[in-house]
Amino acid sequence: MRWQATRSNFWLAGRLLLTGPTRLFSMQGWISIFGLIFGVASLVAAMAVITGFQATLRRSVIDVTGHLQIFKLDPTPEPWQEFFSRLKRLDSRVLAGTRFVMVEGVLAHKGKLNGVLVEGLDPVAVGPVLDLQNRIIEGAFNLQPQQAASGAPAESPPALIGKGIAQNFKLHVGDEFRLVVPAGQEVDVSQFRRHVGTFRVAGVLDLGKYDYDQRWIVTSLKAAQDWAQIGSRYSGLILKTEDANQARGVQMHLAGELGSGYRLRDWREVNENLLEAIDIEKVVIFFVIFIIVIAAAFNVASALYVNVVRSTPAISLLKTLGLSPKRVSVVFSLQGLLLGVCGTLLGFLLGLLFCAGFVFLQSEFGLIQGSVYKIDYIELKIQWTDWLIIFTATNLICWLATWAPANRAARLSPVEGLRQE
Amino acid sequence: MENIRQETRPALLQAKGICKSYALGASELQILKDISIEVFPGETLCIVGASGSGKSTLLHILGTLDRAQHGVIGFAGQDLGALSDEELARFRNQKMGFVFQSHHLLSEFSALENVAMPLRIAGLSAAESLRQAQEYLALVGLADRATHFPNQLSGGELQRVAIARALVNRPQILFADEPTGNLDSKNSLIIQDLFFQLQSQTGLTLVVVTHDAQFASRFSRVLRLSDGSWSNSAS
Repeated sequence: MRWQATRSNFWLAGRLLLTGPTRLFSMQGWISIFGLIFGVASLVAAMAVITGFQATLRRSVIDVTGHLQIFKLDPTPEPWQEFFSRLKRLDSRVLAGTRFVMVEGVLAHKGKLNGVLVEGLDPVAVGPVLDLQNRIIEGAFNLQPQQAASGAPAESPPALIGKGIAQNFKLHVGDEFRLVVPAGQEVDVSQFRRHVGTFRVAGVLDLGKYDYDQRWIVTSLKAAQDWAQIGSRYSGLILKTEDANQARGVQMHLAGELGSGYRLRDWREVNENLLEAIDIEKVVIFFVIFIIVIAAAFNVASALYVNVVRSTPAISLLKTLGLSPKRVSVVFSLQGLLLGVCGTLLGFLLGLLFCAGFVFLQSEFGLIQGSVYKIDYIELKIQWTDWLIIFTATNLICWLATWAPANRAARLSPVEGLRQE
Repeated sequence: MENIRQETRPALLQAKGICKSYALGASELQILKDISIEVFPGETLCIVGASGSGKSTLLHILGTLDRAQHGVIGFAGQDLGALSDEELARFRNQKMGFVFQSHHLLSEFSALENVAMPLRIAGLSAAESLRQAQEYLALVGLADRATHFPNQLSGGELQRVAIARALVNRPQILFADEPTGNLDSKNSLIIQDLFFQLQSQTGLTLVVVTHDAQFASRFSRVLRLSDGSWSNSAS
């Protein structure tokens, strides 16, 4: 019986909404849900942009810095394979690793100078750890020095440079540039010797993040060690874990096991402030735009209220025929909910259009300033969880907003409407 | 007065000491003053009276569409005053039928859907509701107008659809408030005949409010209401 009543309530709500005296899908009905449609569309587009921003930034950071970096504070050389095997034994979530050298230097080319970060990577071991191959936009991912013909002078070691550096110094594949590294005297660190190394551009990288592109240079581990004159020493290891989200757990575990002498940082820590700011921004933006949706839901409620007044004779008749006050209330609440669902779904469609428009404007006019937002291109990401939250919250608000008109309909006396005609 | 009959069989509908008034600013307008009535199964009862005498209000109270300030209403031994609004709605749907002066059909629903409405409210499936509604449309002679909408039907046809709707749930009692009030004499006669034909076929109890003397003369019992009380001049 309960199911039969529910079925009948849905039928009545649908029929009255579409064809009945309430005729909510008239111009008035459409106007009432316009606000809802635009509110939901804005919410969908904003969430897609923010989530895309998060994902783009995260991918960029992980591609460049890996899941987890371990810096050796002790300069004593330690065979890296042994060190890596020890780490794997300590935590089985560690999947792959490569040693690296990180040196700050100065790039000098055609009279211009710029501070850079030179990373030396093992050309063979880096593949499974960092995804730099897919970030090449010019040239090739090739860090192996080319063998010079016998008697010919040795070729400069290859290096990959960020696209910002390429633009600023007008460097292209095949061009050579010089890197200067200051090396302190062992007895007096205030007096520096200069080590100058010449490198050849093997490729240009789009690292996805403005400050990386402006400063990052990647070369082979051997070339970096030779240039910085640090022998076979390395700065530390970059590790890949089973899941990027587990990196922090692995970091905590290994830090406890390794003790002092090592500094560990996961990909999140590299940009902790920025990532946290975006997390907060996402929540704030959601609530700010959701206020529009709440206002729009009250617009739906007001349209429904007018309709209840207009439909008094029909409501009275239905009550005369045996529709109980509770079911009248349910029928009108269902109408609000149906309008809400309709507005939300149309809002989703419009939101997708907004997203398409954003993608178009971004690719055509470069909407995003890398110097301001850290990244210059956002890959929009539509998460089903975002949509579910938007759908549920919007329709909950619509349901609540229609309570007043539905309650008024329920309280109408059957006689009241019968006298109106 | 025959409002309380000396009958041995139990009354189907019983009202005792019904009082109804409306507040008009500081004063109070008394519509019904201590009205009592018994309606017996299968009888045809007509309530007549001048405009404003309280006929319609009494019909609404007897039909549970309105509540009295004082008094008791019983139906087949059940105290209707004790029922909640939800229970009353279900009760109306199962036991009572209503026809009004205006047809009160939903304009965006076809004749067949209008007749099927009480069945849909009762929870019957669409197919079963429409099947039964079609039978009752045929009963009032409008089988061929099932798909027509109210604006495509004449005044007499609209009232016949309303009668079919009132009967489709097989009520025990049918209340009609000036059912011929909006009709010309020809259509009025058709509707009157239909009422009595259906009453004799189904044996349902008929309570009609009218000021049409000719129509009133066809009922087995006529009660006159005057200024909210039963008048001594019985018809």
